[in-house]
Amino acid sequence: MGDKITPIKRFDEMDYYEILNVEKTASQEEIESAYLAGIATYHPDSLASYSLISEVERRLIIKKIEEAFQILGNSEKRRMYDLEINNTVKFYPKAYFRKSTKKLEIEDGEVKKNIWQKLKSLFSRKRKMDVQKKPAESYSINTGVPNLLRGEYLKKVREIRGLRLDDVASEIKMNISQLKALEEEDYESLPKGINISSLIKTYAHYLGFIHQDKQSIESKKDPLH
Amino acid sequence: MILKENKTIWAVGGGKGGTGKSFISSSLAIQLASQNNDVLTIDADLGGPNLHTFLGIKEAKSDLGDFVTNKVTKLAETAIPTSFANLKLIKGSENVLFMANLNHYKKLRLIRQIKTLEEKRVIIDIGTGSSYNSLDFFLLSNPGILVITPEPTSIENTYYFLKSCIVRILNLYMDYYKIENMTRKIIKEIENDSKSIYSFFNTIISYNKSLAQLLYRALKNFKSCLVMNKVRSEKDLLLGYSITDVARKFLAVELSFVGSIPYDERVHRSLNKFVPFTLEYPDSQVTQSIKLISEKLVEYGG
Repeated sequence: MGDKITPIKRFDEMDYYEILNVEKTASQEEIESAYLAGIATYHPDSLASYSLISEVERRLIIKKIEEAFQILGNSEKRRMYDLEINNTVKFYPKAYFRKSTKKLEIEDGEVKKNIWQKLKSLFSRKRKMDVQKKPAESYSINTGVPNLLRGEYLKKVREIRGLRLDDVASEIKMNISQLKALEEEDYESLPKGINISSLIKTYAHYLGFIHQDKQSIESKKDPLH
Repeated sequence: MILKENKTIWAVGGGKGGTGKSFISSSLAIQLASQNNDVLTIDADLGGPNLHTFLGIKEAKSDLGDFVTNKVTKLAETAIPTSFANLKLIKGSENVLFMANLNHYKKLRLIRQIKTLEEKRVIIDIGTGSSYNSLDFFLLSNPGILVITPEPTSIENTYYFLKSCIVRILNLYMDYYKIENMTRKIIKEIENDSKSIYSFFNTIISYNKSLAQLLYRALKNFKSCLVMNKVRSEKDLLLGYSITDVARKFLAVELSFVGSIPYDERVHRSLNKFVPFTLEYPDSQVTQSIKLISEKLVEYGG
C-alpha cells in the first residue's frame, strides 16, 4: 500500500464518471444535468475555460463528455460499462454448487439468473439485437436520431447557452417554426420529404455538441460515397 | 498544518481587485460573531487595507504594523474591539510601502502567531494579488476562500492565482525536503502551461517515486472554496460550477463551490454610510446568502 501512487490523471485518462464529475451511484437525472453543465463549461462561448486550456483541448473534452453521456445516459450501456471498469464479474460458486438445503436452493435460482444475465451481457451481438427490439429506449421512433439529440436536449442546451430561437434560426437559415418543431419533436408539422435527422444534426452542430457529424454530412454531398 | 481543535482560519483572497473580498470577510465575521463565536478578523491586505471601513471603523490606536515593526511583541495586543459583540479587528497598517515588502522572517513570525491566536474563528482578508505574501496567508488557512465575479478578467486571475498556489506549494515542499534543482525547471513550466503539471509528475515518478507521492499528497491537501459574488443571473451560477470542474480536470486542484451572492446596488450605498450592509438589510438576499455560505464553510472546516 505504501508505495502505491495515484498519478494525476489527464482528462483523457479519466473514466466517464470522472469526466462528468458524478458519483458512480449517480441517478440518470444527475448524469443528464452533469452532461449539460459539462457542455456549457467547455463550449467555445464559455467564460470558464478559454483562458486555461486550448481550443483543441476544449474540443477533445467536449467529445469525451459526449462519449460519456452516450454510455452513462443509457442505463443498459451504463451497466455494461460498469462491469467493464470494475473488471470483475462476480460469480457465486459457493451458493451455486451447494444444493443441500432448501434455503440455498432458493438462492440458487436467483444466482443462476444473475450469471446468465451477466454472461449474456458479455456478448455484444445479443445486446445489439436487444437494443433494436426496444427502439423507444435509445432512439426516437420517427427519425432514428440518438436520444441525445432529442428535442428537449436541444432546447435545454440552447437555453443554457442563452440563445433565442430567432437568432438561431437566422444563423443556420432555418424557419423558427421548423426549429420549434424540432424542439417539440413535432415532426408531422415539418414539410414532407424533408430530411429530419440532417436538420437536427445541423441544429445540434450549431449548438456545439456534435463534431464528428460535420464530416459525415459533407461526405453525403459527394455522390461517389 | 496543526491547529488547535475546532479552530478555523479562513483566508479570503483572489487574483483580482474589486470582487468584494473585504465585503465578504467583514460580513462573514459579523455573521459568525452574531452566533456567539469569538471572532478575530485580520486585514492582511498589505497593499491597500480597508477592512476596517467595512466594519464602520474610521481610526484605530493600533494596527498590524505595530507587530511587524516590533512595537508590540504579541499579535493579539494589536487587536481592537469593534461595535459588534465577540468581534475584534486587527487593522491593516497605513504604512503600505513597508508592509507590501514584508520580509520573510517577519512573515513567518506573523503566521506563527496567527496560528496560536486564542479566538476560535479567525478570518484573514489577504487582499488582491498573487505575491508570495498573499499566497502564504492563503495556504495557511483551512480553507482558503476565493472570491470571484462572473467576469472574464476575474476568472482568468483566479486560474493564475491557483497556478501560483500550486507552484508555491511544490516549491515550499522541495525547499523543506532539500530537493535539488532537477525538477525546478519543470515547476517554472507549470506557470506557463497547465499541461506540464502532468509531465511534472511523470518526470518525478520516473526519478523518485516516494518524492512524487509526497508532492502529490501535498497538492491533494490543497483544498479551497469558491464564492461567486455580484451574481446577476442563473447562468452565473453555472459558471461557478464550471470553474471548479476546469480546475479539477486541468489543474488537479479541488475547489468547492460554496455559494453565490447576488448583485445589489445598495452594498455600495451602505459602505458610503459606514454601516455594515448585513445589518442595514438583514432580510436581503445578500445577507441570506452570506448566512448560507458561512454555514457551508463551517461545515467544510469540520
